[in-house]
Amino acid sequence: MEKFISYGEKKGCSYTELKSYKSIRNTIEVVDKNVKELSSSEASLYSARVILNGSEGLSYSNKDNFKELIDNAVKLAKIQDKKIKFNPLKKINVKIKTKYKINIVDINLEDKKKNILNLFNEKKNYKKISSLKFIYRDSKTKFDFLNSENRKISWDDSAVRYVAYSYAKEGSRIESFIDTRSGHKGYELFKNESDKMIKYVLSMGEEMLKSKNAKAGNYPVMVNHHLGGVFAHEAVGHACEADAVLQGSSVIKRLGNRVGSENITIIDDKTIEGNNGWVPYDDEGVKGERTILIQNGFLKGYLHNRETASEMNMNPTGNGRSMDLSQRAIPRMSTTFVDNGDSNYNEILHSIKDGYYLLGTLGGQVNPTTGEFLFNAQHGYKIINGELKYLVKNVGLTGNILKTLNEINLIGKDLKFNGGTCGKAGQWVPVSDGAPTFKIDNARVGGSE
Amino acid sequence: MIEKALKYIKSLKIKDYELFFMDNNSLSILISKNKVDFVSQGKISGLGVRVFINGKLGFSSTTDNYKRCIDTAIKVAKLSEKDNKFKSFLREKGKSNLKAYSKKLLNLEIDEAKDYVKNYISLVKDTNPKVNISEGSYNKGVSNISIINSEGLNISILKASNSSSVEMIVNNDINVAVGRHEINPLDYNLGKDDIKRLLNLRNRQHIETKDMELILHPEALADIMNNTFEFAIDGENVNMKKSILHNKLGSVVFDKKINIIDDGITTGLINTTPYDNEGKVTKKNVLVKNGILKSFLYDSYNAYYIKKKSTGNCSRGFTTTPSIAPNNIVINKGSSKDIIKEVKEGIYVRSLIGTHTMDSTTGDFSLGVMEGHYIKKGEIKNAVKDCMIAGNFFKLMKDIKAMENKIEHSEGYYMPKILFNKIKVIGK
Repeated sequence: MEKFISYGEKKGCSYTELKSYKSIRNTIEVVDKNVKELSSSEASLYSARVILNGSEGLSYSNKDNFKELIDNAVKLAKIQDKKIKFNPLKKINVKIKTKYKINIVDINLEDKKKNILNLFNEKKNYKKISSLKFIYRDSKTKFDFLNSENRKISWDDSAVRYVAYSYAKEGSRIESFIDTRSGHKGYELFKNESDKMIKYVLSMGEEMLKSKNAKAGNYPVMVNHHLGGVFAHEAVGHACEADAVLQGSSVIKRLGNRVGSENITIIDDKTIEGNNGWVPYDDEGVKGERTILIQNGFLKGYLHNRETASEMNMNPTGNGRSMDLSQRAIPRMSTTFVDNGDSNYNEILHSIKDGYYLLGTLGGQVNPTTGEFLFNAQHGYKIINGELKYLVKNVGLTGNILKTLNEINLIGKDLKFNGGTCGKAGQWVPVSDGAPTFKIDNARVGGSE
Repeated sequence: MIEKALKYIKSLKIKDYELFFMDNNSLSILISKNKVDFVSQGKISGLGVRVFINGKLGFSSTTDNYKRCIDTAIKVAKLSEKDNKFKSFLREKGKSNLKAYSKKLLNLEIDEAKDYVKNYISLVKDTNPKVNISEGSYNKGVSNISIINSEGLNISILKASNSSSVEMIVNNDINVAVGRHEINPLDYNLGKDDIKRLLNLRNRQHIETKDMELILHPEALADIMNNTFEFAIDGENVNMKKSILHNKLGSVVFDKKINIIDDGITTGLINTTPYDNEGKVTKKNVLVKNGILKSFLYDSYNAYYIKKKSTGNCSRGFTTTPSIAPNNIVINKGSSKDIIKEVKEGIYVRSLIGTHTMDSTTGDFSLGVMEGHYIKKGEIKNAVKDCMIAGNFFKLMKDIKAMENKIEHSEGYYMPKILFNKIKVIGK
């Protein structure tokens, strides 16, 4: 790639960035012991990003013809109006290798398949489960990055992800339950956790047949690490993305402002190795850091790509991420979490007279401009006089970021992380989120009871 | 690549195979703060190979090396388990002359795409200088698909579409998100309607928690149906008895005013295509007639297993194996000229937050209202703030008061605004 950097310079580019991506990925999908898909696929992609007279262009292809890619990127840069300038970064040369205990290429596909089929033996112990589906994916990916600042980065990555769905049936009622694991890890992620996860998904599927709908209204709510993590991600993380702040479309505005209760601290940490949201270097070659977003209720930081950092005259944070080489790197989260407090599960539970304990997540969404967010718990429990009473399902929770951040006072110290995927501007990237058990004093709960 | 791949797979004497080749060209123009912010363009092409050997299926895809891909598919098939549901790759003798693209869009150059974006931005700024486009994008895609299988199928499909999405903002705290997706070049003049929508959202008010009538705009209803109805009519979910409608064929499932068609062949609709993505000639499938469930949607795998024919609803790319998806979902129009006038007290919901989080299996939802208006005695009073609606899609569809006499498009759904008798609104 080196010689093409100088080709970019010859074409008058003040910045040239070349990337290559090669991956091999395996998929095994099993539905009720029937192997629906067993596949192994490979893909390559190459890209060139240039800045010419302050304007940017990005060109990509499956063919590693960097000269043609640069020529096309130069053509595209001429269309753009805006002038972009980066604060320069120092030259580096790093090689990253994802750590694992069991290399995914050391287990052959046939054994991987057998191990998954073995999980299905558990199904017979759950009579009301009508269907069980398991999808396993692993991948080995080689990323290479080189830019005209002489930053050279390569990453040998290994990733594993699997998801299980159970469907339970009783009379005309059908309920479902889903759980997932993911991370930049090796086959140990499957070996150590899939067994436990399958049992959980099967038993919760059956449990869901007993669940009721929640009663709509405004209640105190206690959330677990899943839903609390979605809160950190949806309600706070998105509003701290510097592109939204610069576009004037975030309720979160000036650093240093008080935005929440003194007990709340929220962090976006790119350095947690192996997490699904681990970002050792972002897609613009910036080192991933630990970024404090909110510290004891005060707004402390934004999430930047190189462009937003330069525009605000701040340091980039390593949050410039893209779905793949065909997309622009924009401010995205990594592992976003509510930090531990000093309360605990029992204290929080006993403080609620009439409310809900919400667990698991079906995801969430936020409108950063108005600050309105929604997330859905997969299940939960009605709390009466500090005790869990009965199971409820699919409980929606809405609120307004700035109001809700001030209504979080009791926070536990049992922080846990979850892997997931985040969508923004049509781009999906792997992320993690997390939280300890905590309480929202007053939340709007949706339910059709 | 596909001809070489065909030659190679024949030389290996593989009896049952399917080759899927796709070539995508994309252009993307991004907008930020009223300016063209970023331009990208590229080409991705690749091959997906499925083989069936000794009762076992194997799949592999590649962007580089077709020989390695075919070898891998064969190797993988041998490692797999017997698949008793698989009967054969698609058997289809029919041909279609339908065009899935407009020539005008196919030939639209980068400069014209840029003019569309610039004209849209100027229109917004000229109409109301207080309104800003915080972010947006214009995307054009052209794809060329070729499919060959061992049952004698050999077809190709050319498709072109373009889409735009824009977020506009006023007073720094009110925004509106607008999306368009069509097979004809987009019309920037529609920007005037977008501004009107945004300005109508000023003066947002809290409303009381209570049951009231509900109008869903096609945008909100399509979002809900995408996460519930599509799951319920998916032939695989029906075969697996995961669909709530699996045993309801011939029964009344919706209000008798409701007719729903999956339409793959009407020219001008966004997902109209001569063939689906395994080569089946598309058609119109009547799903619901006068509220009675008439059919589900199938690809060949799930149809052949229960001795039916594919309905032309296979969806896939070269990196994935087939799944089932509707073509265009069309719901009949009603007779109401202005449906808002028929509401005593209710909420008109244009867009929702979090529809992807709803329970596909049961149809239960509790969702945030992104863009909604409170209606009293047939008139819109004000936009609503911080509120949610909760209910069940399948129950809602049984209790319809009226349907408007105009069809609107949202993401492959063509339908009128629909007025439902009762929804739970959670406000103050």
